[in-house]
Amino acid sequence: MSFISRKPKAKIRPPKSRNSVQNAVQEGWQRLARAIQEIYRRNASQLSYEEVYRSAYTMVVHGKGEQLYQGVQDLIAEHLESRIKSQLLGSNAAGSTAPTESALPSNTSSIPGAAPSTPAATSNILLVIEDIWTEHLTCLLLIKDILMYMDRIYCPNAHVPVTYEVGLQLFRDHVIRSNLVPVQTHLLDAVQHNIDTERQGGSINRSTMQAIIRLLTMLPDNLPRIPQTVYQHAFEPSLLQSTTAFYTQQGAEWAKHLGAPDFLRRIQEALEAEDQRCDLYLTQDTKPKFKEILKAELIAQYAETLIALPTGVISLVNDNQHDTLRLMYQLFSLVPESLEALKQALAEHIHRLGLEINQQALTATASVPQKLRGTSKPEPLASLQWVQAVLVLKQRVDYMLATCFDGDKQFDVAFDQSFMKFVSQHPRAPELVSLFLDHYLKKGTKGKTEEEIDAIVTGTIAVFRFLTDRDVFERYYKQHLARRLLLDQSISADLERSVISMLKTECGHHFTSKLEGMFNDISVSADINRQFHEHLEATTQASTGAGFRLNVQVLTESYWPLPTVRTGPKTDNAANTSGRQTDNSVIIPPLVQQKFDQFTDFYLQRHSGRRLTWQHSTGNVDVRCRFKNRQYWLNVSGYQMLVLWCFDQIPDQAFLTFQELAQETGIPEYELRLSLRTLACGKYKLLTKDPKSTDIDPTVDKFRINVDFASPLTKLRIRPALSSGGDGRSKSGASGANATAFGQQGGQVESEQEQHETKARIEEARKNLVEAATVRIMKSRRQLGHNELLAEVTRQLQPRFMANPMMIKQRIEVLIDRDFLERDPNDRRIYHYLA
Amino acid sequence: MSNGGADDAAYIKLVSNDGFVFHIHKSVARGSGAVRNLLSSSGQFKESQTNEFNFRDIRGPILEKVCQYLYYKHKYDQTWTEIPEFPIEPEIALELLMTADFLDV
Repeated sequence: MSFISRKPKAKIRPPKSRNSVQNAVQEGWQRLARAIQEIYRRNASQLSYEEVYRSAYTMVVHGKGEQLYQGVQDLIAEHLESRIKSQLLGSNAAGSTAPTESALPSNTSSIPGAAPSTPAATSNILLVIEDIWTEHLTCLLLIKDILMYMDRIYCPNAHVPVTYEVGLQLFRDHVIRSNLVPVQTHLLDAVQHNIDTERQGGSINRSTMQAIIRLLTMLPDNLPRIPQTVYQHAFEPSLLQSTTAFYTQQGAEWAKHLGAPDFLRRIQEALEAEDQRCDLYLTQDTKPKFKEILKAELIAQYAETLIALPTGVISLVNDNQHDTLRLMYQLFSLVPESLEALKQALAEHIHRLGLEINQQALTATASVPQKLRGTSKPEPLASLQWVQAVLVLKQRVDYMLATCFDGDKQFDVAFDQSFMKFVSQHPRAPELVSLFLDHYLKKGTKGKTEEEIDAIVTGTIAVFRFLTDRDVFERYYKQHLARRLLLDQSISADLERSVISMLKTECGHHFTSKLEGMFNDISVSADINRQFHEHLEATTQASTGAGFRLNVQVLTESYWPLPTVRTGPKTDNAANTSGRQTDNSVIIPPLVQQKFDQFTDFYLQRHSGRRLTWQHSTGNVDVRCRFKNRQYWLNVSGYQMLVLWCFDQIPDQAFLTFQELAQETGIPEYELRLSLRTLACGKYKLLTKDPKSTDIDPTVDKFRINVDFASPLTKLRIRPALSSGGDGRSKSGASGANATAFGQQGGQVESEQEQHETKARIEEARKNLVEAATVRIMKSRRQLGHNELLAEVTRQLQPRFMANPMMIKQRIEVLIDRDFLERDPNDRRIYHYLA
Repeated sequence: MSNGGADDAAYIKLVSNDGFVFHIHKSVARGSGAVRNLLSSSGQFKESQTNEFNFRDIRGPILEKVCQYLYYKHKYDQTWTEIPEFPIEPEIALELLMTADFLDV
């Protein structure tokens, strides 16, 4: 009050007067004590700062620092205790000082052990403490200001904490840990009670909570060494404990009642709520600790359960519940082990889905007989379905990866492995992939724009990546590509080239060099044919009388997967109409043979030193013929042309037996059977067979032209088929022939037998590759242990196929036998390279 | 540094025990720990309302020197230029020293 500030002014006392030092000090202290009381009475604005400051200065200067320090502490402590008494022990009406128990809830808190259980009591103690704290803090700041000189000079010298810290400690000891009331326990109970209330959906006074927690974090605890706040020391541990208990219980409950999606959502909500709680009134330090608890109690604890639940991963994937999956990923990524488990579960599931696709494809291939007639419409083949299904799955997984799993690299790798696993579990995967590509690269794929095909091709290359037996794929792809090129079926050369370049980026140059060679041959052949025709026209030989045009594809033998290869190395050979094996065995009509000779002459003139071999079986011929009154254009294979030729030589009604035909044409029996089957039992029955049956019996069957043959189309494509039955008749006149290409059946899975052949051939090729790789490695290393060699060979061959260790071992043995390698005489496990 | 109304918020009035009045910038006055303390304690004491400091222990010449020093300090604090010497007359040195301690300059 005002008289205090006036009083010292009234008695001005020069500080220099030595005789009254003692008095000045005493007076100064009294002045200070009164000033502090005034501050507590909110009357600071009446005080002269200079005056009280000078009082403190005087005391310190005259060596009474300790007295001052103690005195101030006592004053503050006294004040705090009186506050406690009036606010907590008495009624909370500020005026009343009666220490008797009143009906107020805060009284119950004075009984040790009795927790303030009602919400009113809870909020009350919080409010009271907050109130005392706010006041204390304000006053403390002022006291600190007037005692600045003491803080600056006395405290460091006496090694005691400055006023502000003392103030905090006093508050701790006299309010929070007051020996009058167990405030700390009650506070803790109240705080916990509030948090629990909020967790269960109730609403609480957050600002009070915040104030209390702030208060607690400001108070240093009195532990000897570790600097900790009261909050850290006394509150946080039990808060963490109760949080753990709460969520353990919640988790168990949720696990019992909720499906995976709801469970996940609850977990996320809990995470967010705790996060928010820490932001709003708990501390940032507590946040990670709460998070740890939630991670341990909810995620780590229930991850396996969540994955395995009937509503877990499998159904989430099957139902495309991407949001939930995403949530799951996000939550599980907090706990590495759970994420790992999720990854495993997903990878397994993808593998399972893949196996299902395999299973479907296999049963489908088994049930659909291989009938693929002259329909140009692409039938929904089982093989195509398989690749299509794989593609769809891949797309789904990719989408999932991108949307749900943030493109997580680890997941990507795991998924790819799953794909690889099931793709390699399908015995025909390489063949089917190649077929699939073939299907879309072939002309006549309707209803697809170029972009669509482009997308399909790119997707297929992705599937290709999962193949382990790439050499097998290469083999099939070569065959299919050859067919496309020779039959001129390719939809666009650009597309083919882009596929090859994609394969090249996948597997390297050597993988595609032959494929590129094939392309080259085709374009070179086009040139040669043009020149040949020009040459014919220029010479205007009598050959024009033959009246047909011969187109020859000159192919480099080593690039092309030709059926039978008898010619020596380093030659070109040509595929053409009629006849299998090589030249001689097949009897070719003179008309055609003449043309062949012309071409051979022409070609050898230009490229001497090369050898041409005719591959008749792979050619095809356009034949004009007449049944009844109608004229048809038949596109037939070389062999079929020969057969028709034979019938052309005899009267319409005459029969030819199988043996006779074989003799006339010189076609090998197997091939002849195939050709006849197509002609007599195929979709267009040009020949009639006797006796009628679905297969050809070489011993008894007789054939004649089906004179009554009729078809609404004038251009017919007779495709060589593998089986079926029927009858036919024809009258043929081989007046025009257009020779080229392969006649193998298009877009079809290989038969069992062919498959075995292919397998054997691939096996053989692999042996060579393994040997080559072994020698290459040994040549550079000179000396290598067995295991290292094995690993190295496997690594080198990996882009093409997975080398079997057994096979490598065998090859090494063979190489030792052939004196390429030798075993170390001392250590049998080491090999030496012999130059 | 001597004119301007006392209520001008940018200035603070320092009064010595023999009646000399010095108006100095608040920002400069903050060079003294004691004054800074008062200014920062948000208008709680009488001085922060009146903007006037009565130093009953400090003589005019000493306070003048202190004010000079505060401006000197304000000017050269946190500069990299060469700092000229601050002249202190020997006869007031001791008193000035004690005052500086009091004011935490």
